[in-house]
Amino acid sequence: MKTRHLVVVGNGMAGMACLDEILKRDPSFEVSVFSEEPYCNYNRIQLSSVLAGEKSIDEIYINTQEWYRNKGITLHLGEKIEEIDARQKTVTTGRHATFNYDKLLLATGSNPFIPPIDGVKKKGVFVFRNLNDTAGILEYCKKANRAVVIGGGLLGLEAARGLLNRGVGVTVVHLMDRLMDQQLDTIGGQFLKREIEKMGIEVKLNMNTERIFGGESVEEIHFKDSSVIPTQMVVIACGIRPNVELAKKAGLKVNRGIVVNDSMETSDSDIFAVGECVEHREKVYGLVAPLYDQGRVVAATLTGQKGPLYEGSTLATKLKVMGIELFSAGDFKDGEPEKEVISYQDHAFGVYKKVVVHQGCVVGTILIGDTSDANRFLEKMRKKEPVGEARHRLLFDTPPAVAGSPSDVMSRPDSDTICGCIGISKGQIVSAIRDNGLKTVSAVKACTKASSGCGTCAGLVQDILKAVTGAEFQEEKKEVLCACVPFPKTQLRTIIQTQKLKTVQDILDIYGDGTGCSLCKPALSFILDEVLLGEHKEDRSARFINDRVHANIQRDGTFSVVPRMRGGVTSAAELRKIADVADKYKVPMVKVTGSQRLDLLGVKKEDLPKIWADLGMTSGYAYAKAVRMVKSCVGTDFCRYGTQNSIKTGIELETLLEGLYTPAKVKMGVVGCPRNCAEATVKDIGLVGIEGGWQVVIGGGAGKIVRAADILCTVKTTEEALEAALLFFQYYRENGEYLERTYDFIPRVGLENIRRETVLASNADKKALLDRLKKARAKVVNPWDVESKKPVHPMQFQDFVLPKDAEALIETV
Amino acid sequence: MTIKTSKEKWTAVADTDLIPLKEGKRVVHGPYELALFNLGDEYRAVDNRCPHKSGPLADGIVAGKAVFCPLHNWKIGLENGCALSGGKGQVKVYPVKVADGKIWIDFQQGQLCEEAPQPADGMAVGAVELD
Repeated sequence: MKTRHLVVVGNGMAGMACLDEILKRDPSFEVSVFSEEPYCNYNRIQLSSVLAGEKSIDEIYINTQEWYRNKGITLHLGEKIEEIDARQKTVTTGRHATFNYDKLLLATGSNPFIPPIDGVKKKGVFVFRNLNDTAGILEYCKKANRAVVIGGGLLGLEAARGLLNRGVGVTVVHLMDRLMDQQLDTIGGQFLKREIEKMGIEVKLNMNTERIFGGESVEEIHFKDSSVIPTQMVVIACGIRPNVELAKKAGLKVNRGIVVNDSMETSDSDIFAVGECVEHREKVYGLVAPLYDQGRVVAATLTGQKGPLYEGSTLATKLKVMGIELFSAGDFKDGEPEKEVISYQDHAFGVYKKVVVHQGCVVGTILIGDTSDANRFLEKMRKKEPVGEARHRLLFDTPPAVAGSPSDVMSRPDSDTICGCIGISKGQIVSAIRDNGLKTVSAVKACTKASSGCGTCAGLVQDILKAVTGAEFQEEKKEVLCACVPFPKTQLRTIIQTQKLKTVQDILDIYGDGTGCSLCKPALSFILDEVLLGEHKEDRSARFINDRVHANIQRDGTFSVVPRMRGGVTSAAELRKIADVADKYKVPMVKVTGSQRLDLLGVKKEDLPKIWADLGMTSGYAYAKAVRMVKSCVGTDFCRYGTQNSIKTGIELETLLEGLYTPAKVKMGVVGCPRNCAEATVKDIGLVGIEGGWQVVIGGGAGKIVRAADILCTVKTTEEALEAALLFFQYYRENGEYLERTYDFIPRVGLENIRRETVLASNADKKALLDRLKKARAKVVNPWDVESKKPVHPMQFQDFVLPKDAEALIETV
Repeated sequence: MTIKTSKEKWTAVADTDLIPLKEGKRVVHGPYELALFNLGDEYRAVDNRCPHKSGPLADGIVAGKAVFCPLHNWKIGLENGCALSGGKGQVKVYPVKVADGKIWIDFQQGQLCEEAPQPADGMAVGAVELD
């Protein structure tokens, strides 16, 4: 049988979700996809997260080029279909290429609605619809500090929050008397407005925009009530309109959208349509969930299993704005006599819950401030099950034994929907896990598509997985920093960069549990210091005691003092000072360490600043997750085998990096020949002198793990060797997980990737890495010098030892 | 309801501003060695020695109403003195009050909390490698 050619116009979420369903049922189609945008299929819903700095663009791609290749799909990126000839069954592209089809699927989505006002073409005016718009806004807002968002709907608010995160002052102007008027009632609108304003976004309601005013760029917005708002940037988010132009030209039946029947067929039975461009039973959907329902129907019809019909979707909306929980679904309006409203309002806590009951069943809900019941209500609406006797506790379900425990979701019936977007039930997820031996959330996502829409149900999917797999459950590779701040380090770096958070407590308050622990507090301190290049607000209480008193705590509560001896080289004068200090403060032990330097052990906390002042030396940071030292051999200065000046180079390397904090300690070594006397090949960074050059080695270790270092590169000059070491050092600083030694970092990231990002990177990228390093190094001070003269806190090194006759007050109760 | 008949003996330990926010300080008074913490909204005092290996709790990292011992990362609750992670054990809790800009401790009233909840079992959670 001749393979049939299926042409898909549109490469968005609808088209691809539908295509996925079709190929699942019948892989024999020959498929061509035409995409006006020059990108692979990405998750449009997540553009808000990209704007807000919570996700990178790479993270929102759904399918890679490889996916298309593996499925045998011909992908035409950046090619717009201009014409359909329904009689000849052909489509023609903007480049006048014509393709035949047997079946045609239109998934042309929608276009942003731009109100007919003057000035929309000015520089600084944006819509917020696709990847290009997002990139444009991100670029432009770097130099803008005031923006106005026209439209207080879902997208407008998400855009506003994103701009705010980028450091831009935002005003949202809205035509109607309440925000999100499509999803909220009057009370809900008031709750939301308060929450939005609390974030620092200005909200103006009943504002009818007259024109956008300015020269080449936008300068002001004028309103019908004669008010004016000065601004440098405008984002128009006034809703969307189905993109029907192509269908109209082809003579298909079009009202507001492309008209389809319950089998998703257009007025031409070989042409189908799905997604936002569609009008079904006089309804147009601008949300993601219906796409998947429609996709399944098209897939069944197309593959000859015509039967299941599309009967419309229950609309559910979730606002994806960090810090606000909002959910709205179904028919939430009241005022009609046969509808009953059950509601709860807590103004102080910003919690609003409303359920609308019609003929004994839940038909709509609004949840603000606490959306944990969203799925429960949605389920009731879908099933149309009568509320019955449970009505008196409808708003507050009996809480599970342990909130959020896996048993909670496991107690639900198998038919319960878990992923509302894609329509996957609990039972389907459980059998997918059992049948395929799935162990990670991403594996479940890849197999069932559950949680690949808006992503809200990812937590439930994980709970199910945990319950089914038990001990075999595997955390995602992309681990979060800590349970207190459940974000991966890379994401925290972006959050700090984009939102200009400067203290550990700020991050814990906004993105964490507010308290933190002994793991994440020092970790966040490090990340803040590293990202902001020393311009953070140092919070000593978030640092480990060693970093509060610049010495290493010992098992008996005393401390050890290790002065810096660059390259392991010292002098008679230095040794004399150390000896004097050891005598004067009765230091119980002086020990030569494994790092070619001296350790004064058993020092009392209160003696630390005095010892530092007497020594007049630099801290060796032997107590910190930081640059430790550079060991060296004697090299060409004295050694008869030496081929390179290892002492001079070692001292130089240590001087370039000393005082910098790192994800985990960094030990280095420089040796003058491959005999490797200073053990450079088991150091985090090592330079090994060879005849006529240096080998730069990385990721060695002789600690908990013994690992021989990998060769990063071989170079001719000492300058090149030092540069390579510095490039790797800074790359590790920025990309290493907290407490991850280089010997774990390199296998995780891959040596080739590291080479590509460091020694093989473009000159501009190299310079950027080195510049950031230089800037951080310039901020380094010797804490022993600074804090022996002026402690951070008067009691930094002191205890409270009360005199015998301490003031006491006796009270009889 | 219990009726207190004993005498309270409050000793002034320090001016309130001498303990940095969310840090602890060692307090030595005759035979007593305590760790006194500034939790922001209140001060708390417990015996300074961790039930595990006598680590100085005053030098630990404070998180919420708990402190992590600097030696092996046991987590000690500052409200009842009980180990919350790491292992089983508890330290005495002392009454603290603030008056006249000073922190006062009743050293004689230190006690082990009776209704000690069962601590989380297992090894120290997220123990930080110290060197």
